[in-house]
Amino acid sequence: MAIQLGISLGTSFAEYCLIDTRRPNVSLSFSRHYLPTENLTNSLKIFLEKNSDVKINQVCIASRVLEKILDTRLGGSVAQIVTQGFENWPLLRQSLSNPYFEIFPTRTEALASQDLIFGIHERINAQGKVIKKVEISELEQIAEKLKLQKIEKICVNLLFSEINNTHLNSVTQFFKEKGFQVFSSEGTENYKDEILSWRRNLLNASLAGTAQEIHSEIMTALEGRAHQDQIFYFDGSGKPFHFQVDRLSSSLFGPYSLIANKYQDDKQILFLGMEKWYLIKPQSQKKTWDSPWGPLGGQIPNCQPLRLQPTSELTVDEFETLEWSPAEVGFEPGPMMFGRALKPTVFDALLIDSTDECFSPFIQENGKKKFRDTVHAMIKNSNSKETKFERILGELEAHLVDQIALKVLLEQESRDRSLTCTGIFAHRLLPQLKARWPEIEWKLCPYSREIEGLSVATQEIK
Amino acid sequence: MSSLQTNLFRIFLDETLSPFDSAACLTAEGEILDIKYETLADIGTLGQGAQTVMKYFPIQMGDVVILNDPYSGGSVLSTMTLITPLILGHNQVPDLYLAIRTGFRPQLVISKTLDEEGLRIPPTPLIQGRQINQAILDAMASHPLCPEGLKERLEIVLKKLWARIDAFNDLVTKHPGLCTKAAVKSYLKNSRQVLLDILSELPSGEAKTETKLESGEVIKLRIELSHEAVQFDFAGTTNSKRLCLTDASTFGACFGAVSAYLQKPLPLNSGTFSLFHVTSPLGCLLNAKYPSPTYKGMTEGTSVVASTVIQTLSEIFHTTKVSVYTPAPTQISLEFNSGKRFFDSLPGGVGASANADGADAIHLWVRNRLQNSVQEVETRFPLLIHHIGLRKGSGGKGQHKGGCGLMKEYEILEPAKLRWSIQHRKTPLKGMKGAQAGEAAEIFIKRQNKEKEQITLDEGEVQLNPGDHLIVASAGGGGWGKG
Repeated sequence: MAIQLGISLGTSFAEYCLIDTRRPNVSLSFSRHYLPTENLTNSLKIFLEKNSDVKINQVCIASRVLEKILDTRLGGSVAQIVTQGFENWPLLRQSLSNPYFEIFPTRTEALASQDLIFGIHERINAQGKVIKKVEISELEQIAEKLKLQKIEKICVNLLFSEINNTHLNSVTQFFKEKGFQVFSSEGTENYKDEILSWRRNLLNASLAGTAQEIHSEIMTALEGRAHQDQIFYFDGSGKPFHFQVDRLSSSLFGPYSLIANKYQDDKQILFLGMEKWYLIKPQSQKKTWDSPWGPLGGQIPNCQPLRLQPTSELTVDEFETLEWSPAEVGFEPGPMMFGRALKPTVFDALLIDSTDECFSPFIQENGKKKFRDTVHAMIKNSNSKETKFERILGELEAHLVDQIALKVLLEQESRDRSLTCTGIFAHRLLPQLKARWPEIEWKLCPYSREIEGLSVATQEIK
Repeated sequence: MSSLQTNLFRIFLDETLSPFDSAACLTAEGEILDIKYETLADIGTLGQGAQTVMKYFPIQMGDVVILNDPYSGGSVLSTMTLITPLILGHNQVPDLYLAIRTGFRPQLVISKTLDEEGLRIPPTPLIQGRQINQAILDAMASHPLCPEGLKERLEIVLKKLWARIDAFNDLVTKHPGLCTKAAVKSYLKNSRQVLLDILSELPSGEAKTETKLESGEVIKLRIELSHEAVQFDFAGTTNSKRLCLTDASTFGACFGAVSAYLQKPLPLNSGTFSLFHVTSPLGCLLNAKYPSPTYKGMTEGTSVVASTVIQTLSEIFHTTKVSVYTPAPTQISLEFNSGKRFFDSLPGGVGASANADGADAIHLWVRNRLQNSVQEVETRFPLLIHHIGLRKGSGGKGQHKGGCGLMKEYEILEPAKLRWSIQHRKTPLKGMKGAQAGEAAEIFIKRQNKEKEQITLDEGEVQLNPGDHLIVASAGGGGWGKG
């Protein structure tokens, strides 16, 4: 018997799941935890203690937890070494924050500070010929400056380094020998746009510190139960790897690539998870990711976010309609049901009357009351002719379901009308989806309640 | 029709247009329902292009009419607009049409007529029953001024287009309630009401401004803002020496500028458009006549109009202090002996406002993602780029600084003809309320073993040789307030 432990780390929830690889569709043990109130190490330890008699052969981790820190400026302590003359280039390539015209436009926040970008005299041309040789004495000065500023992480981003990596290697080697943690932007020839690999490199560097901390927390919990060689993370193409900082950006898509792997024969998968809702196309991949800082390179699954997400906010819109806004409020302080938040969300509306044991551990009675009161007040401010709370929630749920179905049907690439739905909210929404959109053969994945954990746990490591 | 049903219709339209860079959806009566745009010109011209085609071509499902002629609803000649029915002949469901636009790398041509600027395509039936008329396409593609890669790009765009139309029709056939005449009516009415509500909260008033361009043309604008409508009167605007806009692109610039000024993305449809009244004398630079060339008008010109609108609005709303006078981009093109054509457009710095510094080197009125990466440029063209950076200190000093312009330095590796167009060469962007002006735009050529020379004309062309360096600097924005 081979036992795998699957760990699915979302931005706010963690799931742990044990399976026997001979019967991969049944979990031997499963638990879900809300991370803002529960500690990762402790919750995993408790789960493992409950299963103390189980010998774990492999640990599979798919993590989106790093997404949580993406909203903040991450790279304050990351320096960049770039080809001289292009010190402003990363900043200038930041996209505008909004797709519509503004008189005060701003660029999206850059990952790293402009003050920590250093240009070095070196140049390689498009044919890979060295035009200007790198000068080590110049690197000495930069290293001294960075030591004074207590900078530990450096990204080396040089033009045409994927065609001729001699400068990249020598600069990387130099800073490594000086004791810095160095990230180099060696890409593939698929990325003619240097910024795609520069950003990816910078994101890896920016995530490295937190990722290392989370990895350590997991290792602490696994002490005595699994060692490094048994632990695997997954990148954007679903490939397993032992903890490695230069694959972090791609690993943000690990959970979705695993779902895509699991359903690789399907054209589309509707994933209605606890934190995110996506339409995943398992048979295709993307080579770039439209990150919050602009596109960056890396193979990721073709997963399109639905317009509405679990924490999309309920608002009175410009037409005075009580309506879902695509804006997400996130899980901290959480949906109103969790007792602390003030903004009503899709999550609240779907769970106000739920007795589902999947959600009950997180739901507070005072949160329910707060949600009702808030919606009542919003009804008064809207143009709604209906005033009955239950009826309005029913209409809003139908409207939500219609938006999901619209996306699915507009994105279909074949006449195949069967669609596998998975994720914890699939159970909740499937009856409505089936009733309102009967032309689709909605197939519920039988173990969808534990899908995030289970899809991780059932990965076959070769 | 419930509000949620109307909203679902709106979301349905948004999702339908989402795969395209810029697109519009219209009814058979020519009412614009939704627009997705990249430029100010798109806002006004996409609808006009579709309306022109619907008026003169009885197109059926699977037919496509192509155009790029600015005087028929096109924008710059390097963008192609495709017009096709989205859905026809369903009971209860309105007949709808799509206009989608796809852009190619532009060319900078110093010209006196539109036909010298590039291949001009008046509305031309290109596809019937989803079958491309190969003879027409071949003729277009073989034209020396046809955008590079036309056939390949059309293939990609058409694939997306047919997929979206099929999915839309499948959906509406099974759920006619998603897209009804009542939903169209209700959505347009609601959109109009949204704008009326906004106008009702604004102070009524009028203001006049005059913008004098370096080339001597004058744009005169009077805006009258009431609780019922916004009137833009460009009477007195001179004929063009350099910039020519079509009336549709002028409308787009006015609407885009107001929407930006109000800091609210307004619904873009006939409901809101019906409250905007733009008039300009026929033949003036904002309502040019064929065969006036329009490239500069569609790019620099729309941005000048938008800035003029914002300045005029600032006169009416004494409380919102904005000095957004956007510098037009500094544009260059290089035509190599091999026939390869390189184009670059360097955005200037944005003017400062009462509350903040101006943004550095931003194309304020463009929302596309066409950016020249260094490696892509050097791989495709015989160029070595030595520098791309902010033009430090080019923003006007003041309490708030104007945004910096951009500077690039290229080394030419094969003989090439340089063409350029500079808008703010002699008169930099002025500062407001005692602040300093930004630096003017500049272009220098440094030939081998010679001193660097500054270009002293607003536009022109010159031969460059291998080893020559070309240094291009866009203008900085004006400052705000005494520093």
